[in-house]
Amino acid sequence: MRLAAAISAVLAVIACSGTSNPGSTPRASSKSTIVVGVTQEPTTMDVTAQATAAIAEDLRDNLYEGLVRTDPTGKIVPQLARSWELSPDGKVYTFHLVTASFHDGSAFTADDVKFSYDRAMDPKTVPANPHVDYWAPVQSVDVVDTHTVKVTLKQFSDGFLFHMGQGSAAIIPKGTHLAATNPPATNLATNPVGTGPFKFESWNREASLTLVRNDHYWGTRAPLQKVIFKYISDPNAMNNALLAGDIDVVSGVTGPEQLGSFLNNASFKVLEGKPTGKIMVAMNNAAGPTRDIRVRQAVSYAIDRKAFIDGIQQGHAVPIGSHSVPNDSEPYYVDLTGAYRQDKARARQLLTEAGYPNGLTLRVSLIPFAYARRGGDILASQLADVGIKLQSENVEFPLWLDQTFTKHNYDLTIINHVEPRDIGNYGNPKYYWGYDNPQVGQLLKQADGEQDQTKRNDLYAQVERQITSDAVNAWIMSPNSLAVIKSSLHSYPQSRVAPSIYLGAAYFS
Amino acid sequence: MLAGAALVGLVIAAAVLSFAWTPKSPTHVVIPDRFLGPGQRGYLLGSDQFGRDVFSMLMVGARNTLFVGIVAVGIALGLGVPLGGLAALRRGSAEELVMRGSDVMLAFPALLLAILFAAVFRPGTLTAMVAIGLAFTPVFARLVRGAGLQVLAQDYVTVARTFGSSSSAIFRRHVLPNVASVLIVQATVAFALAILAEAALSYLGLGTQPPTPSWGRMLNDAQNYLSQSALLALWPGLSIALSVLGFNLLGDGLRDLLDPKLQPRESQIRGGMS
Amino acid sequence: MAVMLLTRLGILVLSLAAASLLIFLVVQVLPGDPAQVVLGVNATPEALAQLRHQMGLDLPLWQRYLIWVGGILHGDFGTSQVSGAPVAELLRQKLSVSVPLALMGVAVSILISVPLGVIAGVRYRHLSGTVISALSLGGIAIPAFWAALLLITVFAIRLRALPAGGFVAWSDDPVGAFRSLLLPAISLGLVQGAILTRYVRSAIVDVLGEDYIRTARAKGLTRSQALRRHGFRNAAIPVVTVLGVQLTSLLVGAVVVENVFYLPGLGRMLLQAIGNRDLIVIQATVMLLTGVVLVVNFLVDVSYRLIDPRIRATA
Repeated sequence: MRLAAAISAVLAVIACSGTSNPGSTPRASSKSTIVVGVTQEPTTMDVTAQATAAIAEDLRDNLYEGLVRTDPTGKIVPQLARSWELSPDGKVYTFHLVTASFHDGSAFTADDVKFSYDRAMDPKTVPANPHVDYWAPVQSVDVVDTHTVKVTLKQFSDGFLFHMGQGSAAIIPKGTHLAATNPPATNLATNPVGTGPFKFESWNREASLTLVRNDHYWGTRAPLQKVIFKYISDPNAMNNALLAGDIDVVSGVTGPEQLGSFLNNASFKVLEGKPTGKIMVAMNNAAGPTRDIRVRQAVSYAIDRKAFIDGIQQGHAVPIGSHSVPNDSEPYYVDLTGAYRQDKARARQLLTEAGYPNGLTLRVSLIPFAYARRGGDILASQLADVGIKLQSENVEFPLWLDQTFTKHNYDLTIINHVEPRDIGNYGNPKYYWGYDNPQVGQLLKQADGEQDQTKRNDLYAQVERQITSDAVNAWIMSPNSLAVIKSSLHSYPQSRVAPSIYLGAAYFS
Repeated sequence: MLAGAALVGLVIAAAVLSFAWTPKSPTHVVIPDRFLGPGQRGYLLGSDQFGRDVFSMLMVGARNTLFVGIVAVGIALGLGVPLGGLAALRRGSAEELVMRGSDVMLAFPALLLAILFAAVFRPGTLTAMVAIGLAFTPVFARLVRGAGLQVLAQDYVTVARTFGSSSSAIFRRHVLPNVASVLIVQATVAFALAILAEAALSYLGLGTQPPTPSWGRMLNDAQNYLSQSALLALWPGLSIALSVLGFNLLGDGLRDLLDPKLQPRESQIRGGMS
Repeated sequence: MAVMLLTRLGILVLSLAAASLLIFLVVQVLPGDPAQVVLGVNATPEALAQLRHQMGLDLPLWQRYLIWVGGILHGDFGTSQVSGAPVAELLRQKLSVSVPLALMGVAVSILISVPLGVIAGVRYRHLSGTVISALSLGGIAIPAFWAALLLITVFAIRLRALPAGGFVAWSDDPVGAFRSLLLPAISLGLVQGAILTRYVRSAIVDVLGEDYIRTARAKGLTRSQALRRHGFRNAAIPVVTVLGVQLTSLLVGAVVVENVFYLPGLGRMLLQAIGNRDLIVIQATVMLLTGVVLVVNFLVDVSYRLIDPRIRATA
């Protein structure tokens, strides 16, 4: 008994020394290296080449910059364009550029903007820009002088400027990738060059990416000397890495069940921000049993959003009923969660009407993220209750891109659309949902061209109502952005509405 | 031997019973019942992160495990025995082809082959079974060939041959009965390895696909919740270990029973499964 | 002897060639277009055709095979289709994790199996011997990844003594790197150690029955003295050959364990490459693993034949 008491006393001392150590008192020389734990590793360092959000997450705003930046609340703020004007007809943007230079020493000019945008718009570019549609409204890009560039649109577009703050709309040095040599002279994939506050140092694949401060930065120099992104896909390992002091930040908490160890710990701060992203059961509207609106409605009625929110996110999410999220990046949000409340009897009845009185089997493809894999089990259970048998297929993301996104070979899939303001996809019948409603297409076009904010939001709201009543997809939730940081870290982005983890202002006390 | 038979019997019983009855549904999600301890609210071994009954999942998992074992060993026997027989009876280039082919195949550990197969075809129970079966085939082919050569060298076989018995008749009448006991022992050992292989594949997400419960996948799920409930990682692992142990013990026992001349020796199938 | 060596070497080369052909053929029937994966979903047909040409996907199969094999012989494993990095460089990076892991795994298994196996062998009629045999039988039945989970629960989650996963580069922090490989190596080594224990035990039992031990004991040595002077070296022969084979199975077993601990080794790269449809990386990794298996088998085979003349006679 006494021995046990002695041992626990010793353990208590060890525990105290363990927790009081990190960051309780500011040291004489403050820490200048930050290690950020990130779940997903970029597949390449070229932010203009791939849709994978992980590339922009690490590199946009830190290494690459665009004309404008999305701030943590979703607002558009100046970056390489210190200011801009929009012509009264809403067609011509004139951007005034800052004086800056690329990490390779070359000066940043209007020519680089023209080069980057022309290259992004060109369908023949290899590798193609994954968001070539961002530039769809653009008529031409013209250099006025070294520090002024003019972008002429076919008609006013509400989305254009917003999209220029996204990852792939980064400005790269002119000539990149155009060399006839193989590999090309400038290869952003392995040696990224931008204008940002940090420049590339090394990339240790499947382990870490190191950036160092750009001492010739055109703006305010970053307080941090070095940024290391460490790739840890397992929520448990991530958790332990922070507790052990191997990392300073868990940039995105994918397993909120892990939060408990940080909530009552003065060494750490849990940052719970605005909800971002739209997690949904996407459905094939063009082929298979889900072509029938009644089957899609049955799926929508079978779902209990609360089970997903609690089961996957431990409550750290808000339910959504259409393709929008209540945060500043999507000002047209309307709450449509009441449209399909769980109603098993109704779901079964709809299936019977659709010709499946004995139920049916649907395929669902699940990518490796926790929300999809965990969601698959919950979905299988809820659909089984109304007579839909689920056949799950675990796929890696590239295979999902190939089979589901490109070839539309699927019935259902659980996916998080992280890109803000992407409701325009409902106007594209070739998009993987295969949703073809000319009326929605018309409304979207009208909305994007509408300069009056109120009228515009109203038009978008009409779209939301229409796609919900057509049960295009079964929208489930928008997870709150969750991060855990050391208490000594300041100016770390609270919310993750922006495409990047911007570290240009972060510092340790 | 008895312990082995008992363990194997238990697994078979659980699997067979699961077709007719499980205490609760193994796939039904009840969020309010998450992470219950053993015995709470009728969950015999507790509930998992979605409030599913762990015991029922284990029962259905047993069914899955046995199915993979039976088909994989069946494929290995079905291909390996005729190939080995062919090599022994025909000799010459046929034998050379079979033996060199099995050399190359042996260089592919079962797991590597199964991962490749999962990449080429869709990951799933069928792919896993076929890959494991193919990886084990050379062992059986070599076994049958070796025994076949010995048998064929016997005088009575030479006599049978001169009297015009067909090759296949000789194989059936003389070779097979002689290798049967060795084959049974080897099949039992292969079964144990197939269970390990399936578990590893399902753990990696390349085996049985959700929502069908499988022991390997349950372990993968449990890894995320080790700090909530370490027991979730205990039960499926214990099930795998006890089944493998059961088949190993049964194999050892059968070896002693069927062929007392055989020294107890290590499995002929090289691991790589671990 | 030279003839034997040459024959074995010839067989090794033929097996390598056959294995490479098999791997190439299997990998080339993978569904999915790597060019499409690289370019993403909005790529135009022109861009796709151009990239296919650039990647050499428009050449006939046999030509692509010869280019690939020729490259390997020059140490060039091609370029990753997804990350654009030279595969040889990737393999080198991954081997700095996988090889130490496998070696540490072997070390753990030796540390476990030699003492236990010797005790079990020497005292095989005693309780301690029986208990060890039973334990080793149990150990063989445990999947390494389950052992890993149990170790994580105890050492990482409960005691917080070792990391539950992830890897620190050797160049950044050698101690940290070693620490991150410790639990994985133990999980691998425990299971392999259980297998090895049985080999050590039966080797010792065999040796104890040999005439030279009886002679030595007749000369007045105790059993352990006799064993130390004459027995161990003889018992070591079969055990060492098994160790060779085990190294290869450890490399492959590491595929699973690396995924449990999120270690950036060959196994994890292989799995990710499959998910990314990165043909070149899949081919190279499987070829490397298979090549190692074949070469180690060859070395074990040759040394066995050199040591034991009886096998030479029947070869």
